[in-house]
Amino acid sequence: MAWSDTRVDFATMQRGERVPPFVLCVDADAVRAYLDATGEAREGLWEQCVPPLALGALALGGLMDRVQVPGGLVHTGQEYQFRGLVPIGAPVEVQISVAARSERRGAVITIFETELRLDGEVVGTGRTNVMMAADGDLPL
Amino acid sequence: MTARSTAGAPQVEPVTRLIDQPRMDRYAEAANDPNPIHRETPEALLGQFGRPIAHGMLLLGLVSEAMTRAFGERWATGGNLKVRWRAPALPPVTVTARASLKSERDGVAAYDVAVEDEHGEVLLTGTASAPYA
Repeated sequence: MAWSDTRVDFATMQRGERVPPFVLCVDADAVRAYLDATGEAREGLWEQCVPPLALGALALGGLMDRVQVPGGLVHTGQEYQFRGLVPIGAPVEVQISVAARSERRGAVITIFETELRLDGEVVGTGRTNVMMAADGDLPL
Repeated sequence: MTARSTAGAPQVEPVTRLIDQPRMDRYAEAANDPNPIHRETPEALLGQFGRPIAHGMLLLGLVSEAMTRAFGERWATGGNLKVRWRAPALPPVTVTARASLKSERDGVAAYDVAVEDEHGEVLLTGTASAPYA
């Protein structure tokens, strides 16, 4: 997926700011590609539904597609609450906002909150913690 | 596929997998993750580790897979996951996701989860829970 020219600048994002919402339609080929990559079996539930972590990963991919992220950004933590099955091909609305942003010991810490809705019902939520050193180096 | 402990909560079996560059390349494509630190790029080769590092979400996928095997649909409809990455996974590396029962209450089982490499280094820790009844 190409990076657009209208991405939000990560450096200027503030608490409460929303990333432009988008819709994920994960088709059978995309599920197959995800499972092939992770090594998880393609049988059973995932023949009909999208693995919840695939949705989470693709929502993060959508975030990266819409936010101009600096190269040294590190994904330090992740939370998910999975609340519903998503049939393959169903349109899932993705809303992402900045829940918190702080600076500590020279590192800028940002928490994104994600909400996934199918037909208006919440099917998953997530919190993504990322960290960036003020000087751009990896703060590990 | 679901094993049950005597207390009623499922036993979550470990998942072990080789993480190598071809798998990471496939994951980058499948998950729409363009970050160059996961590929053989100048950014990765000149970065802190001198080589690509595995996607944290790829490691987390093993935890989700283990929970899916134990809970099936209930993982997708009622699962909770909270993790932190502790160290980078440098491919090729064989990693194992494990879960040990921490508590069970009101039909919900909670586990301490971790992903380790073949040398025992802890790459990810956290908790996972799901309803079993």
